Amino acid sequence: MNETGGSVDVLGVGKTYGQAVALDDVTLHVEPGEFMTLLGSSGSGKSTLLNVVAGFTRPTSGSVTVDGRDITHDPPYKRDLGMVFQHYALFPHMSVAENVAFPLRRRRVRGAELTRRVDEALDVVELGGLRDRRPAQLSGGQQQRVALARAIVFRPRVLLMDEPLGALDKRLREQLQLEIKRLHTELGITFVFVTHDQDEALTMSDRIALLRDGRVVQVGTPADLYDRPASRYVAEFLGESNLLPAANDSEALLVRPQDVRLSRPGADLPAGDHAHDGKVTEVIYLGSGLRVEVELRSGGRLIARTGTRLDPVPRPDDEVVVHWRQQDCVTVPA
Amino acid sequence: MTGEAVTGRRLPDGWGFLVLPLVAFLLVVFVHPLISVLARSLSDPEPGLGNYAAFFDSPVYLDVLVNTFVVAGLVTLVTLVLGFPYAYLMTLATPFWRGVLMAAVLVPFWTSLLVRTFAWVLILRDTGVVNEVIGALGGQPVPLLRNLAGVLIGMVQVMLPFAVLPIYATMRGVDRRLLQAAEGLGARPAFAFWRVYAPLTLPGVAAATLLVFVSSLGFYVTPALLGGPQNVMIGELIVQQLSGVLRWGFASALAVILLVVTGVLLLLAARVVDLRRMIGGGR
Amino acid sequence: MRPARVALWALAALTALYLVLPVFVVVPMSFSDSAFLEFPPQEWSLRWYENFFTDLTWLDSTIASLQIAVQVTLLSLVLGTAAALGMVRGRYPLRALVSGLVMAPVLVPYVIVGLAVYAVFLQLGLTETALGFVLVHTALAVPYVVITVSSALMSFDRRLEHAAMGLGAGPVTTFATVTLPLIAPSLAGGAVFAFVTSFDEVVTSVFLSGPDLTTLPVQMWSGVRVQIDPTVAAVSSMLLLVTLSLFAGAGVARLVRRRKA
Repeated sequence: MNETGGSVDVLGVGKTYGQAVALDDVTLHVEPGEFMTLLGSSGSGKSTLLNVVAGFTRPTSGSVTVDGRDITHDPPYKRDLGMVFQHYALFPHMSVAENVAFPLRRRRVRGAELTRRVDEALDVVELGGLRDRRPAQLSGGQQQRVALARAIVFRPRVLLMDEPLGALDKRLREQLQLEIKRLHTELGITFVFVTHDQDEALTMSDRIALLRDGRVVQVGTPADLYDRPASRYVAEFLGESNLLPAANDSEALLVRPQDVRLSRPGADLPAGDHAHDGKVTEVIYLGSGLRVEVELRSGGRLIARTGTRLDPVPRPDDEVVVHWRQQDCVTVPA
Repeated sequence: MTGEAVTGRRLPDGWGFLVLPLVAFLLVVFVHPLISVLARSLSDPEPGLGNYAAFFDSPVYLDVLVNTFVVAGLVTLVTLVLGFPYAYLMTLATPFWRGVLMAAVLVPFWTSLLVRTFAWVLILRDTGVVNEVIGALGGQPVPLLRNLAGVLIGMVQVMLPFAVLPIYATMRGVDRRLLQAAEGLGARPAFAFWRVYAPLTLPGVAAATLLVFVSSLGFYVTPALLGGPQNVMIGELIVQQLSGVLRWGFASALAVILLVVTGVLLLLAARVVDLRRMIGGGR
Repeated sequence: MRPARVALWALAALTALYLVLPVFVVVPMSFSDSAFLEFPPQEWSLRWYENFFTDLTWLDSTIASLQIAVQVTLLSLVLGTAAALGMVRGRYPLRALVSGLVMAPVLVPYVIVGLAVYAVFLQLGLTETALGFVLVHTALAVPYVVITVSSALMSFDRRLEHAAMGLGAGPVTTFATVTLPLIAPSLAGGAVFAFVTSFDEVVTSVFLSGPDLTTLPVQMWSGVRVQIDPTVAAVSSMLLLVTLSLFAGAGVARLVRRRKA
């Protein structure tokens, strides 16, 4: 399998249900072979956008093209896109192999070629031994792998995934995240992945499109979004953030908790550091570190994440100085 | 199915048109004949309300209507008295015994109506099973056929499944822990049952009552075979008027009266019970 | 056990016996040699079975009933499944009225349906014809198909259809390869209902029957109505046997399926 991925272009797509606006003039370009994640909370429009690309939802305005071909008015079955659904949507009356063979049969693949490609796809997801099982006899993770195999077996140039890991427990999620990432590298096809989980988005994506209220608020690499959020909303959506008043009212200062350091009052601080006096209000032991909440004397609260071996370990009511390096804070439009 | 997953339903897929063939079929085969019955009741032998006047002027015919209601009412009462505890026991029994009780309800449900009615004839007639046994024990034969007893015995057996199934369906949804809670709060078991549990089963009981009563009004086969001349119900009268004396107009008027009574009862009841579920509960 | 519980069991046991037992009385009596079917039978014989299989009126009515029931099953499956699809998935006006119309045949007393249809079919020359029976029985059977199939469709996961379409199956293929196999058990259930409704239908059939065409229930009806024809006992016993074996078959099938799963 050495396909190259297709490019996807969403141009000015809007979708309204009566008065409710699900998508508001969304434009998004996905590069061939890219892993693009549509990230957002529920109701942000991310699934609607995916369904518009898949063809299950007809947009009220705008167009969708794949490799430059306008597919806005094509029904889903003519779009030739792979799709993995949130709840797997495996056909319960078919075996694993029959499920995987389904898209091939629709494309008139028969006989030995059919068997070979089904086996190949099942091998890719490491389920070769389960080909004759029914979906009901599989675990959640196995079902998701079958859904993956079924979506890639016909070698689509674009694979759409709608919260594929949403129903799995944390450990399995993390394992499958890595596998999906590996699959993406191996296949070289374009992935469009929907999730509400910021960690998942940061781990897996080449680029992330963050949606809010039917609009794309920022598109960029995980580092772009995390380190250089385009707005307060983006900063708060991705990871824990401290937002402090900046020089002028239209902006805020963002410092990530892991960049915040704690020192005792009067200690020598590195030159150029921003520093504030405060009082510890809460300390939570997380195993991997401490989460320390500090009430600033200048007003407001701030979270710091530190190692567990601070000396001394901060305790509530301790007077502290919080400080960070100049390059660790960015200005964000408020 | 809400929200984004439903979007497929919004595609103009023309599913709605699939209702048309059946609607057309029923309009032709079912509704049109019913309308012609109404028309005939007002026009045969001569235009006007004569057929209805004849019905309401005659004590004989009014007696039939009254008798129809009496029989339907008695059938409903007996059915509920037997069906309610039966359904209740089904909720208490172990899965095995629940299965047995359910099978007992379903076997007659699936057995041909005529086979069952015929069996009752063999059992209830003067030389039938019951009277042979009574005779063998030295008793006097009891008339059980061609009278009210026969009709009730036959009809209650037919209607019991229609009472047990909806009542059981409702009871299964009632949280039995409420009984424990009531008893824990100091209510005696009988009080807890009648004041806490029983009221919650009312939707099922209402559905059963309605279904049994309305169905009983229109019974023909069972009363015709097991009842006597004293217990003619309106369904039988319709057939008599037609087959015996060919009074088409009058028979049609009787049918309209029965249909109106049934329809009014159903419409009133539809405000209380979900008819679709009620019919579904009869499965 | 508390006395109340004992009384409850006793009442339920009697009710169960009342529901089940009387039906089986016909079985021993059908082997009676006497035309009076006395109880208990004095002499045993198969003459009433013989009578059934040699008397053309009985045989013809049985065949007619079977033929009609098969046609009714097919017609009500097609009409009912289409309507259920439309009612569950479609948009159409007058929804409440349409639902009422579809359910009405179950609620209107069959005597009225019989009278109404008889009057109209007389004019059309449809009485005593298989077509006439099929039309009426289908009207009576189709609500059950609509109910079973639409309840299956309501619980049907339409994401499976989306999946099929996303994987390249057109609407027709999707219906044939995904929807239909998954609602097949309900279709089978609806089919059984339709068949039984037609095969067992007496009242409307009494109106439509005549020398040219009589169904089995009507033949049985006249065998009980005026004077008892002992052949009815033989027919009843055979019908019971069929019912019970269907029941047992369904039970076994369910058991086997459960083992497999």
